[in-house]
Amino acid sequence: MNELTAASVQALHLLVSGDTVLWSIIGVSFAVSLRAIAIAAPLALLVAFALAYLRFPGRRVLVTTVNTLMAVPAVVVGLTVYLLLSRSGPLGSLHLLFTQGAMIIGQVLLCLPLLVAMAHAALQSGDQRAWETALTLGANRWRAMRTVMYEVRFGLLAAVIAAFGRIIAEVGSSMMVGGNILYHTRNIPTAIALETSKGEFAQGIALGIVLLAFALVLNFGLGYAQGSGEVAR
Amino acid sequence: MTREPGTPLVEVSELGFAFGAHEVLDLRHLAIARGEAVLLVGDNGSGKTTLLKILAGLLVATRGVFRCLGSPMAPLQAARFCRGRHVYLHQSPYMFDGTVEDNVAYGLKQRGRDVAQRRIEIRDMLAWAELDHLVHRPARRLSTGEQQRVALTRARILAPSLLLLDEITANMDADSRRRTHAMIEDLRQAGSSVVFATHDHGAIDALCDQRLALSNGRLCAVPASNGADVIPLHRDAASPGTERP
Repeated sequence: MNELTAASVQALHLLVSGDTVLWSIIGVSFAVSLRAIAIAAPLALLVAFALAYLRFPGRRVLVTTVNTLMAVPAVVVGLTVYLLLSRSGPLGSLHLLFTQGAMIIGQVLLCLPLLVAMAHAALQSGDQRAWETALTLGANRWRAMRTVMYEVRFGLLAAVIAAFGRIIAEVGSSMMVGGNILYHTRNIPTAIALETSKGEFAQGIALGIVLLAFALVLNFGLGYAQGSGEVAR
Repeated sequence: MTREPGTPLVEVSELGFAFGAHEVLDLRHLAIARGEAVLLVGDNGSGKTTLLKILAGLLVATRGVFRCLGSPMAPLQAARFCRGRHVYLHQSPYMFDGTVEDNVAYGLKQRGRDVAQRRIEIRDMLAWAELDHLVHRPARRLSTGEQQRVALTRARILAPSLLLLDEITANMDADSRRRTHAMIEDLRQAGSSVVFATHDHGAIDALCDQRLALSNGRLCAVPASNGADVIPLHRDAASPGTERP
């Protein structure tokens, strides 16, 4: 118990003292995951919209595939990206392995199915009349799509937040394709895994506090955007 | 596109629409003239909503030859032409998240009107609909009758050539219905053609120039002008849809 208390005190000290290593790890985490979500979210929203509003052959198969891919473990994604980017792999010439670029590719692949599935569910729960009303009032399909997305924006925002939560906390893919190189590819989860394996808990606790604080801020933000959370009267 | 005098606003022959293999609409001929009011009656599932959505360009007919303002068009081309020019109103209108003003402004924004011009048009139109006291109210918190009037105002401000009204007075009380009918008559005076799909055609009947009935996706009857019983006719007898009572 004393050890835990001491580690926690040391963790707080690391945070407030502006420890360079600690803040570089936090910086890498957010730089990688924010770029990954920025790439994945627009693509996922378009796919989810197509699944919800367009009729085309293979739509059901695609929905089932997306739902299945949500269950793929991060290490399997990491392994796939590793094989693709390794020197003998088909994309080896890009020299991306053990770079932030490789981590971004892994995280994009990891969050895409979750984003598509959750956004699809949000769009499905929307009202078909929104789409028809927008079109009949003269919106083109692109603007009508934006209108429909705005109408279900809280569901879509929740999808983005859930996906971001998944990738910023994942270890498997980042460890395999990033290589856990300090100041370059060491992010919060890989650092926690490394420090814990060495028996150094202070940095792990400090990084855990950052993750928790960030999750709290995100959820407060979502709650504020949604309003009081009451049923409309 | 110029229009010759007497050219119907929209005319369609051999119109068909199918969900998969099941054909739900099979019309030989239908024509709607400019400024004309058409009453469309029929039971639930008879194809009224499908027909209105095709005329609004929201659904693409599986077959048929369209003439929009005299120009022949294939179904897909006709749908693109009609969308935005012909405005469809749901039985229960959809209100976008926002105020009454936001809702009425929606179509004007799509047409690129600037903010100042929009404000003037919206103010005038809300006064016309006697909704000016609700301008900043959240649209979704209004009563059904008020929402329907907002939807009519939202359509009227765009000066559509054809308004397609899908049982819009079905859930209204007598006062809201009376106000809505007055607004529709105003719209006709402003030059819009109107198609009413309704069960309750008694009050609407006097406003209409053409009366059609749908049964199982076919134009099958021409109701009596006093809105009394519908007499089923052979499908062919209902054409051409331009005949006047």
